[in-house]
Amino acid sequence: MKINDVNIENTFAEAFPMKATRIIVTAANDTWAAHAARAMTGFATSVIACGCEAGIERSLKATETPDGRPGISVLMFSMNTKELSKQIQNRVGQCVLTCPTTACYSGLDDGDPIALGRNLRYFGDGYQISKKLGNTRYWRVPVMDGEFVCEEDARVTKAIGGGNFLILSETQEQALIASERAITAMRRVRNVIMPFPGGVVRSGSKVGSKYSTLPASTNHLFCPTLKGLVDSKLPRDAGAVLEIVIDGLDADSISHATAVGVKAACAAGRKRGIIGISAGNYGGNLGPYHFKLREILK
Amino acid sequence: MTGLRLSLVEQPKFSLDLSSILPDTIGGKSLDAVRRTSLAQGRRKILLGDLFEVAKISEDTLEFHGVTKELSRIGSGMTQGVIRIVGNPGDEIGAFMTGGEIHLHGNAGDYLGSGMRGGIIHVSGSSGDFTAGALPHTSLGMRDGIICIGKSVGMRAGERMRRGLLVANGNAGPYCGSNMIAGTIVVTGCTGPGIGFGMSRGTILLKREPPQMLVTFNDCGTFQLTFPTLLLSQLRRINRTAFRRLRSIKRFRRLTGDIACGGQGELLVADQ
Repeated sequence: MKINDVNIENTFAEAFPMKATRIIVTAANDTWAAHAARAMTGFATSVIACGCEAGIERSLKATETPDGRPGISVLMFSMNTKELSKQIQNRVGQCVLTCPTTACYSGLDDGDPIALGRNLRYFGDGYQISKKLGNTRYWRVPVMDGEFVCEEDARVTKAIGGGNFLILSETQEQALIASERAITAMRRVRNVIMPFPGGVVRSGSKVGSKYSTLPASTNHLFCPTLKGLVDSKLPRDAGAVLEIVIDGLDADSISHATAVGVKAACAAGRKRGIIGISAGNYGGNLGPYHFKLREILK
Repeated sequence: MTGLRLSLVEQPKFSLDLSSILPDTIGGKSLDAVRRTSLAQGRRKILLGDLFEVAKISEDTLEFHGVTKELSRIGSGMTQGVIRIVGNPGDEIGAFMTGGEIHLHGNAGDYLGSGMRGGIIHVSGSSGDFTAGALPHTSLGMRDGIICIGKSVGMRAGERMRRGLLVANGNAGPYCGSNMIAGTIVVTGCTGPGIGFGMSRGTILLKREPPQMLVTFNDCGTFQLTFPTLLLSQLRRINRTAFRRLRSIKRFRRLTGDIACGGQGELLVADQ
């Protein structure tokens, strides 16, 4: 299978089950909502060492948010509900509560409830106020610029982490251009985030290491500088590989994002140095979700 | 089966309790069975068919037409469905209801939505005293749900209200929100004296400055707060009139009180 003469390998991305939530951060204007959302999703690239994977799903218009102000939709993923709950408390408490004019709401209607404002309210030191509007309870915590409004609970849902594809190119510059195009297109897809810096990761990993203390290490079979040293999976002319990792609320969204991203990455074509598209998997041992590139791109 | 229209044809001489006529109690009954339903009038029992003309309608609602103040407790204790009332009924409309909707095209009597725990009541006209308040034999007023009044509310609206939202698109009588325990009251018209008297918690949002404030309220200053924007978003869905009247207001003066009762209640007065 080829797109613009770029080879699509007959392989699959292997993904695993996660727990996820969507948080809506609003503020007086887009700028401050973005400040809060960026801080909240910082250092959240991989569950390997960050506790969660988080990213900005999209910007929300004032008409789309609970309080009629501009906002940002954030998706957070973790391996279990307990860890996700801890990450929400820490990140909302330190990054959203602290940011001027912000408020914080659950972005999911269904799922198991976990504390959002339920614990953060204690920052109000007894001056916090509970308000129930409809079936939703909010907390109003007095702060120095007025008040921080936060919904009592967020909702946790089943999700999928680790969807991915690899862009193989002749040079680093070509791989960067292709991956930037892919990310721009993929950011329009709902229910997914690409948690790594700029949505792109250069340090694709494999499970385990020769060093017993490390849970993951460099995916040496895809490192172009090791082509002469190991049984490389890269074509002879590949000079750089970049990976795009996708976490999503459901398999369809990840499949859609993958298709959109691969097509955008292949737009430049083979003559601009894009050699092929591959995907990271571990022989089916890591997770139950297999995103087969050629089936997705049919 | 709801889909019934009850049109009053015989004016009752005394107050009549209609709390037994609810969408879930008459659902599935034949027209004859509905006509044979007995109603309490003091110690006497009256058949519904003696006072009302009963007809099926295509819409899935229970409708009362030609309602007068002698007909009380309509929708009291209802749990689901939709009741439409045309006329000016008596007291305790929707009292203790836990779900469903009541749409009243006319004016309501006293104790509208007293002790209600859920559902929504829309009144196109005005409502009487103790709207969303506590009945004399009970300790709490409205405990949840939404009441929207098209015009004015009488005195002591929201008395001992525990939770929920009361919106009045007209004036509120004296002692609005008195002894309020929690919940939210919105008044877009004028208010009488004694507003928030004895309130321990809860929010009363006013579009107009009250004529006189109790000395047991503290002025905290004027602010741009997030909660009113959240409330406005809710009002946009449930009461467009109130939304239109309040949407241009950006800042509110916050007064906390009643300090004689803990002082954690608040009055938010629009800064215009």
